[in-house]
Amino acid sequence: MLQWLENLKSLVHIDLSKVKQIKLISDIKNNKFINYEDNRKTVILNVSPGVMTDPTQKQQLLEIVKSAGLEDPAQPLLEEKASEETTQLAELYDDDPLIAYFQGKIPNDDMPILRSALFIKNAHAQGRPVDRYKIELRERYGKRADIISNLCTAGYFESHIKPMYEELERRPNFSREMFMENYDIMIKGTPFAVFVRRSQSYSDLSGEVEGKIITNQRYGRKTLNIHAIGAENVSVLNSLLQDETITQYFSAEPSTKREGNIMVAQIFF
Amino acid sequence: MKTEKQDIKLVFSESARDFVLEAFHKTVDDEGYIVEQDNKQQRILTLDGQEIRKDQFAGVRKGSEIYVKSDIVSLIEMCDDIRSGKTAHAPVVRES
Repeated sequence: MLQWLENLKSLVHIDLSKVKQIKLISDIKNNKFINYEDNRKTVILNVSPGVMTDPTQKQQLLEIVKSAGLEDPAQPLLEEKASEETTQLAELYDDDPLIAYFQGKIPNDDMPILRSALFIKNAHAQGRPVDRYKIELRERYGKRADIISNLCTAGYFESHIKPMYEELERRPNFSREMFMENYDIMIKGTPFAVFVRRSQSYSDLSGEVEGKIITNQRYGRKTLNIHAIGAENVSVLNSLLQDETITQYFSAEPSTKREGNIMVAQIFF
Repeated sequence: MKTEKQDIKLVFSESARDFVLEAFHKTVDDEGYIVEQDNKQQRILTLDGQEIRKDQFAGVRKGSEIYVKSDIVSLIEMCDDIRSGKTAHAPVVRES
């Protein structure tokens, strides 16, 4: 048992055998030092000034708290909410194959963004509020964080970026830099791009493209990039470029770049 | 995160932040930043050199004392460091 816990047992004289958590609070409305919750699995210690009137007891508890934070490098002393989030993060590390796959492939600076984005995606799927996390991510990393987070939430890391890596990896001259260059083009172009997805119907895709053309026009932008990865998606993109619903907007021939089963079409309107 | 030898976690509520800071001989200046108790001009810094307001204070970990901010990126960085066994020394505090 860690020393801080031994010292705390001596101070509070309670049975800790069934306890999972000890929580410090400061509740001036409650004059009890020790309370319980969660079927006595959580011990609550009230450290408000009105309760901590014995200076010796207070000093002992202060020293225990300090040693609790510094005794074990793997056990930081955390605020309750941060502790819950850290537990959720640890579970994400262990379970998510996307983090393992992209480690060492995407820029190192993007990895914390991707982890945060996966955490946000997970939290959202569980019905938890995520606005605060998105703001924190944006404040730290700027617009790039928004883009990566949106790509992650939309599943594009699985549906586009991973297949792009696998496609490029087949080339004899493949290098990480080759992938990173293509990845960066994708990230920077995302606000003005459409990604062909197998899970999307053709009519939904053409509707999305038409919608983005109209939006881009409204805000003075005259081009749109459409990305397709995989033979099937490339075929769909080629069909789209012949579709009168879309070609009616064209002011010039689209510029296309194809490398194997990776295609990007830039259309002008 | 847990070690095999310990199942009991010590956590603190937002209301107990002052008590925890007092345990580490810290207090809060007029602008809400965490400072040294014996020199209120010295604001404490995170490992990457950021000042911390009391409302951003998420906790402390060993190394010698590393102060953690509550935003999600800081928590991820902490998880990374703990998993990799990194225990860098805390940066020098900044005079305000």
